[in-house]
Amino acid sequence: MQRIVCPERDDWRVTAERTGFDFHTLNGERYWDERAYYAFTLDEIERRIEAPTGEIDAMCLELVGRAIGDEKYLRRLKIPEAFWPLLSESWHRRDASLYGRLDLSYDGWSPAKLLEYNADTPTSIFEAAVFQWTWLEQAIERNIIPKRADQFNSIHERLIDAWEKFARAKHLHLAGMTGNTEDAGTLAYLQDTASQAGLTTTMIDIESVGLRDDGNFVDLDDRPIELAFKLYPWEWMFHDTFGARLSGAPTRWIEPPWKAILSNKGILPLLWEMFPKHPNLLPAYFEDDPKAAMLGGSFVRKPLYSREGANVALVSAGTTLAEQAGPYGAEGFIRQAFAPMPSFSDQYPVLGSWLVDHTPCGLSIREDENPITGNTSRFVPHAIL
Amino acid sequence: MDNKSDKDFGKRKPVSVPVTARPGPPAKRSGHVALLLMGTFAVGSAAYTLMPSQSCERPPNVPQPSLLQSNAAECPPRSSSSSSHSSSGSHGGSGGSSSSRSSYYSSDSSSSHSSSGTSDSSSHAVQRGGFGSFAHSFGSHFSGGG
Repeated sequence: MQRIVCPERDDWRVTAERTGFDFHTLNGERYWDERAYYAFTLDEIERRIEAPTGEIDAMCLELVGRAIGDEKYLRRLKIPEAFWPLLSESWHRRDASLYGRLDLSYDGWSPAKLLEYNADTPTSIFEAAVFQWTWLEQAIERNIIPKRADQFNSIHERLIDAWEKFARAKHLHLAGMTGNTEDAGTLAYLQDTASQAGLTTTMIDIESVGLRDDGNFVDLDDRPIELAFKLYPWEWMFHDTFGARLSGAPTRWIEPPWKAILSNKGILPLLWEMFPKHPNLLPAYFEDDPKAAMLGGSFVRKPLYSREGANVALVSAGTTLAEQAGPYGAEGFIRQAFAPMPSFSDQYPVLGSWLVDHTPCGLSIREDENPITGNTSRFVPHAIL
Repeated sequence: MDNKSDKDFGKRKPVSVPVTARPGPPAKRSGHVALLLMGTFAVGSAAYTLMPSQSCERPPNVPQPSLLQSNAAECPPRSSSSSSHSSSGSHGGSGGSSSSRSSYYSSDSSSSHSSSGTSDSSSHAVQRGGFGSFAHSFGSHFSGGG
């Protein structure tokens, strides 16, 4: 793994905007950054990223199966008891997952380590699947990178294939916070891939979802929502007014309710408990577990529910080195062993390893001067050399 | 996961076999031309379909010769910026998608707020605004993604 400085395409902003990637710059700062790229060997991709990603996903599924059958796990994850039947039914019904993203720490030498699993509402998939690939093609054409360069990226085709499994549904609704540019871009991209798989689609803001007095969730035309992709976290839905009506509604959701287990940082200590010393896991404990003391004074503190690094703190020798502000933490925290983040030219990269229908199929990289990846971390492309 | 047997669901799967051991071409990398074309047209055309409450109906399993053409035919424009979709076959064809989408987002965002409450359609009463309130408690800068 190397970080290689390279010239950026003169016209990348125009190209981005033509493709609908209009959140390439956020608050005046680059989000997409192609002034450098990360280079991997094919062997690194296959053995250090792809294979561990499949292994971790399999371990996560084993954890869900165990948690569904043992309320002790659900209590530790602070999942409200009222929703346990919803999770259990979706699991036993085998409701399908579309996608997810593992965030990994990898330094090019040691085994990749799982930092967290964005199992419920991962974003940055458009830039990973499409714009990163566009960069590869144009960078090759313009001799910015070697002609032989390739990329770990079949996300787009995998998404279309995965959507085809949902094609028995008459119609797909896609719901989310459409006022947020990045979320809207993610929804638009997934809508397009669903359309290419033969599904008819309707986009709707999450706040516009209606509840009919017969218990059906409906769209703005009062049509029942049979199948819905939601870019809105399960734990938020549980707290919303309509949350209490989820169990009685016939709507099938993507990601399915059982993914609420995996989007919880509490899976990190549970995985460590189930698979101790696994090479791709870091030691982790619930903060109220006496065994957390085994980590000593250096650890990463994460809320059970958190997104984009919010409320995550790096603690070294008892001193907080860095902490992201945010609204999370009411449900409690976990502590994960402090694994010094690899630094490449004073940048800390975090690898996003994508799964579509449980198949590892792509890589995205966010880098930052801050060792906590947040919503301002830059997306940097990668290539296989 | 419909195609998985009950006994396999939720169980650990074998680690994937390295590409070098598989017969045929590797499956982990996209086809260059297909992805570029689909990706370029995809988001632009998808943005166009983001009209409030609009359904872009297309019979399942009917091939799309061009997403732009398809949407132009099946999703009549609802905003002035939709004229940009009349062009096709080049990257410039989706150049208006950004403004079209921005227009939708802002209008939808406001309409979604105003739609809160109860309506009575046909014989059923419909309540809206029951999802999304928890996100607002975090402030406007938080997204549902991560």
